[in-house]
Amino acid sequence: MDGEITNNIRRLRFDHDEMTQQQLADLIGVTRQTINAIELGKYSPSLEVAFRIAAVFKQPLEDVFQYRGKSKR
Amino acid sequence: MSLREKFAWAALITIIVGVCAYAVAVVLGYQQVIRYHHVLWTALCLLIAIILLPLLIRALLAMRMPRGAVTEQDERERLFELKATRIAFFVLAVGLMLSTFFIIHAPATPLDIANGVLGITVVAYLIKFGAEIRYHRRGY
Repeated sequence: MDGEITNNIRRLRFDHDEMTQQQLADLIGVTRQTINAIELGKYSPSLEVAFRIAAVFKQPLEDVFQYRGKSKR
Repeated sequence: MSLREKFAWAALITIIVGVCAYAVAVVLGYQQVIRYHHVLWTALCLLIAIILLPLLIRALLAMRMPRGAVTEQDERERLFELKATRIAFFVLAVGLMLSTFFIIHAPATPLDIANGVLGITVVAYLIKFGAEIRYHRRGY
């Protein structure tokens, strides 16, 4: 896939009382390393995990994750 | 380093140590320094060690990292394991085809055949755990 998935998790964590990666990981049910990989854009989570992250921050999914696909011409 | 990565390291190191010890026994067996049934006993002991040692190391690691131990393997770790298993499967399949070819076309004793199949299985496991560690190190 040519597109790129970006996210605002780092900023959202900061806005939520500087939540740590471990705290977020515990709430989602994944490892801290997985949260780190998602934040850095190395790993694209499943829809379920993406929705769970959005639910923790009480934000719509598109405010947490953004997809920038290459336009086809 | 995550607990699953440590598990993979534990399994990889145990297999390497076990295989080295077995290789020494096999070489001594071929040189007739020790008898073949000693080689077979070594193989059996090492097989038990290869199964039991990682379990023991897992238990020790889980006691040291209780948070990681109670957390289930997450989707990313499952993905790493599946990708690593897929690579190892192809190695195993090719190795078994090659060993079948040699069984048919080359004279081999039952011990040679057993060592060949064992070797292929071990290589497949080494590749599986090695690939898992690589995915963990890389992060995706």
